Amino acid sequence: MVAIVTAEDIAMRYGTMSILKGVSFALEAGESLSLIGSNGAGKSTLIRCLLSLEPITAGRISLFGREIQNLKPSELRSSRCRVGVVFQEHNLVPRLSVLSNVVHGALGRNTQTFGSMISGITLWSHIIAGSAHRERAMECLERVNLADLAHRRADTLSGGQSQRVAIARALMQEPDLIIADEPAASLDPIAGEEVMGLFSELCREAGVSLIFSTHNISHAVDFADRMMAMKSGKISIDCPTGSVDLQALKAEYA
Amino acid sequence: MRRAAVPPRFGNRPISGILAIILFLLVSAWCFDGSGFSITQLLGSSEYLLRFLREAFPPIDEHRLTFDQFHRYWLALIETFQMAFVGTLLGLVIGFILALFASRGLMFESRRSNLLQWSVKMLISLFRTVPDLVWAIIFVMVVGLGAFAGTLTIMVDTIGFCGRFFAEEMEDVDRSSAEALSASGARRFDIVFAAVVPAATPGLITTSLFAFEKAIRSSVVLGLVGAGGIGLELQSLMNWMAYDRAMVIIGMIFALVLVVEQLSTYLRKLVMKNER
Ligand SMILES: Nc1ncnc2c1ncn2[C@@H]1O[C@H](COP(=O)(O)OP(=O)(O)OP(=O)(O)O)[C@@H](O)[C@H]1O
Ligand SMILES: [Mg+2]
Repeated sequence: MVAIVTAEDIAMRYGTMSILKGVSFALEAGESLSLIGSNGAGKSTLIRCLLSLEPITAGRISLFGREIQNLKPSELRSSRCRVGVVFQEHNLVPRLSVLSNVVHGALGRNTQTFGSMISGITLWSHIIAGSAHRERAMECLERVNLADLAHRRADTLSGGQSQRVAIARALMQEPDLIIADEPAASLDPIAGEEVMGLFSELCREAGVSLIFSTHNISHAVDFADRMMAMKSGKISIDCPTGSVDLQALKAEYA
Repeated sequence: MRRAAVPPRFGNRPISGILAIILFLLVSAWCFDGSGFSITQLLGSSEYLLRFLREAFPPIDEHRLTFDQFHRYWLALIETFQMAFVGTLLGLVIGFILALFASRGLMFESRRSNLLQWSVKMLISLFRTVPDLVWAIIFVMVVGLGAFAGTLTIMVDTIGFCGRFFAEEMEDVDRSSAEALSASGARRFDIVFAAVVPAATPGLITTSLFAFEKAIRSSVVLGLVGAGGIGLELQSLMNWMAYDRAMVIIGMIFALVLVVEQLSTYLRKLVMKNER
């Protein structure tokens, strides 16, 4: 098996506060990994570091076999576009339509040539996007059951709706790896199960790898092959979900 | 039991507050002294104002204001509007492009492009800090008397105004959506137009409307130095002490500015209505 993500002993600080203190793990192609840990344990920070959105102060991170700290901007972009990220705060463009926000997911694909520069411009809004992109964006919205809101402005959505738009945008990337920060946090129980089910289906059928963080222990166990627990910047548990002691885990993290 | 102490209400602010007020009073006194402001002088010169008003009214008297003259003023007013419109439009486009490069961390990594960003900022400041009358004098010298010089002046003035405020508006936009697109491998150029500009649009439109209002007001004055428009007519009538016709022109300017301001306020409200 090939490692898709490897983190070797990474450390990260905000100012003088040490947030990550020597985190190491590897994720193999097609594997799904859940991440649990109390508020402030460093889950979101770890995810940001994996994408090189925050600089790490020690250690090494590779994505798809390339070490990301020393990449040229264009190389970093081509690594990043293979990762569909769903942020904890959803991060949609507020004044644009849902459909435009989903179309944006295609912006990262092929940005290397001059021709793609022109086609990139057509992805600024669904109004000017090509029909192939528009149709694919609608398919992605259908997968998260939001097709009927395609023309709503993103800042009029509820928390759970914008969460699902963010997921559709990540699907639009046709990613090899999905990283989702509490993807079910603002969803009702049924929508949450659906979204988690969608992710694990993508893993099984399209060979997509998955990392997601959650505060829902049963999600963490049911929808991942492996789980890691974080505690103040360190990984305290790293084990296959088949072999976890649910009672002990719940006692500590729920 | 609560451990943390409740912070004092004012801390040590009263002393610095009192010092600031004293400083403000001192500076005010010093400035009044130099400004030559004098109530007595103002009241003493009221006879000149009265003379102006007596001669200015009634402004329209068919023996004195011919239709031809009025027609000329009307054309000059239209020209003023056209100067302001074209100058603002060109200034908005150029100002927007410069603002993209002047905003922190927008087109380039914030660490890398400091020199370019700084130079663009300086250029915008230069356009903004040199007063429009000075620009008008320069452009009259370069391209000659007339509307073109006025249009160029308005353009440069608008670049200075919009370059600064456009840049600030784009810097102030919540960058989380831009970051999400960046995490998906999008190019900066695309991120700017897909995420930052849409989020900044209401601010950009508001600023543009303010720029147009400002341009209308300043285009009236530009005629005074020969840069086209109705100001030139006003200037010559005042020199001839033809206060009645000058009053007509002042009335026309007043109407133009008022209409443009009302329109701009209406459009601004329209834009803001769609925002929460
Ligand atoms: N921009 C920042 N500046 C300074 N400190 C930060 C910043 N962002 C996060 N932190 C700190 O880093 C620590 C880890 O935060 P992080 O967001 O990674 O936690 P988390 O595990 O995702 O928590 P949650 O379950 O609440 O999402 C916290 O102590 C937080 O206060
Ligand atoms: Mg978090």
